[in-house]
Amino acid sequence: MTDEDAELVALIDNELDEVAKGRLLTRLTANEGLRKRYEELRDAGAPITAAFDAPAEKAPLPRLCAALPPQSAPRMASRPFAGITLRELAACIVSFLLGAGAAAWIAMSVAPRGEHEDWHAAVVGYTNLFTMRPSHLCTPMPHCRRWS
Amino acid sequence: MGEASQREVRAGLEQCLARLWRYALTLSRASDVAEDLVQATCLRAIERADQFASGTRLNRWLFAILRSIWFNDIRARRIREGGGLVDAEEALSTGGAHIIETNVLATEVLKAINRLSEAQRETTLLAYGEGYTYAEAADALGIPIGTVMSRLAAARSALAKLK
Repeated sequence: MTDEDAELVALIDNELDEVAKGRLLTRLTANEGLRKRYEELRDAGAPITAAFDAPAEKAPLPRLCAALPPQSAPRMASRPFAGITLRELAACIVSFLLGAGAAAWIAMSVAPRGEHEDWHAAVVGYTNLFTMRPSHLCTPMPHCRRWS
Repeated sequence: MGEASQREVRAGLEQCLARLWRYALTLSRASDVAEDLVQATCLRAIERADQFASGTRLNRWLFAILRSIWFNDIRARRIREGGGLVDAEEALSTGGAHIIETNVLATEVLKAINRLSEAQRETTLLAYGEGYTYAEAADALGIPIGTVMSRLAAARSALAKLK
């Protein structure tokens, strides 16, 4: 293999710049031996590409595919409520409020009536404490009497 | 970004397996090593999917990974362990019986390619198997364009002697 071969191969592969290509083509026209070498190298190239197809066709694809790591599931974001839609969140809140309301209503209705009466009596008694005997609140103090 | 890259890489891997296998076989010249090499490449590609620039050619990125694993890990280990490299004759002709039956010329060409040096084989595959331009091959291999030219000329010269 010579530098000349490298140039010829580059010409075959269309990798020479215009100046080098023009110069080499001129030499090829004039030189029978060089032209023969050009043809040898050119003809050797065609089977290479075809030959490389064979190993690709023989690749053990099922085994290679089976060895691939599985497609990972999309990761959940770490934010709170991630993955819960707004509609689901609203439904949760409404359910909670309804449940709490029902529980309060049940508690009110089930609670013993006596407690309500006691509570009512206490309020009435406390109110009466100040409203039934208003006179003692208005009794003038001895030291105030002087001014009246 | 990371998840999108990972999905893109994972989806593209299957399309590239046959070509990765061929590249691995060209480098290692042994089917079992090539299989390990492809699997290691796939794993590393998924691990580093965020480094893949979306919109660029996935197969070239995978080739670079495969090459790196081959030269830095597997090949180095085989030589360190005294295994050396596989004999040229076993080479790419894995499943040779089938190939010989169907395509004698391809087998002969592959054997001739196998007798080339590792650097020449690799350059030949990239240029003639994968369609890299000289500049692309030089870039992928980290060598000057002149070296690509001389390697390809050596490969063609060796194959020209077959006739």
